Amino acid sequence: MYIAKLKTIHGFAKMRTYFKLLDTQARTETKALGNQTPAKMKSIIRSNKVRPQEGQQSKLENAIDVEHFERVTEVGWGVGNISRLNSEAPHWKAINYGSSHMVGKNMPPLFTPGLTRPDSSKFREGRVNYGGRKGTGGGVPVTKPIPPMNYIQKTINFVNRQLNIIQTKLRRR
Amino acid sequence: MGYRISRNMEASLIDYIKDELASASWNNVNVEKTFAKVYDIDLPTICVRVGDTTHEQAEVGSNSTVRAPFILIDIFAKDDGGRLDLKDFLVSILKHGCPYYDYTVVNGSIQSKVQNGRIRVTNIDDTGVDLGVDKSNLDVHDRYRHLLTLTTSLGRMET
Repeated sequence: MYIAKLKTIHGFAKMRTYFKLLDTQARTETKALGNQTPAKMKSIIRSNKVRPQEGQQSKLENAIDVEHFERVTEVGWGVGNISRLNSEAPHWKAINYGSSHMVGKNMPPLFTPGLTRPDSSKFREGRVNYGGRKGTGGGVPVTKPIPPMNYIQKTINFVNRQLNIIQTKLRRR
Repeated sequence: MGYRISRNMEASLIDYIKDELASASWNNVNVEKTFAKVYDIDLPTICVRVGDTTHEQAEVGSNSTVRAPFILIDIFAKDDGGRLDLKDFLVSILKHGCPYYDYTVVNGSIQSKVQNGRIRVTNIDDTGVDLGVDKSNLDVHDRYRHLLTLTTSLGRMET
């Protein structure tokens, strides 16, 4: 009887160690996923940009980062602080969901091929400026709505898939 | 010639949503697959698109994959009540999945369709779209929007 009890206690101790190990691994994996997530979100934005820039990050990409929080009972992180996005890249919603709010308005001129504004060294390299100069009343009339990039939903999909992989890994331990 | 899997999925979902809307007496709801076209047609409108698709290896030592397409369904409603009703209706019909058809296309128009399995919906995310702009400054199409994102599977391996 006592031996059985001892065995049970021993069993519980083993289980406690096992759960502690699982908990540590879960926290480590979740944290690592948190670090991967902004990179994934930025890569979705980069690969879907309509007017890619010369290796520079856009305001939207610059405003996306991860913030970790860790408490005794929970561990987590958040990507894309909304107040930061609202102040640094207020167009984040229009890019994500698509919008027609620019249709009918005039935009500052675009350069083609779609790169950033050329500096003086690019003079006479054949890049075309459509629509006149910024601030002179010229501009390109916007005729089509902004297509939705859905970078948030695509990132959530990525996170869900990764969480499934983590869960499977932990179950196999 | 027939559509490939992604277009078959889009077309199957559009057909299913149209049929279900008709049988539940939802009148004058458009179902479209091109986002930009939505702005040229009347409300309410539903836009169905296949987003990113993952192809995960099915088993070790085999090149077979399992496709997991990500479906984006935008709802453009006339008012807030309509938006909520429409999204709840869509969730209620889509959570059961729907038939998957192989479409045959001749000269750009659909000639026939044959059922070839089902689209299984494994997860639905339901998000109201607030563009953060005063509604009176928005186009009518952007005032009452909702986004459903579906994780789906065809439940079969592709060799």
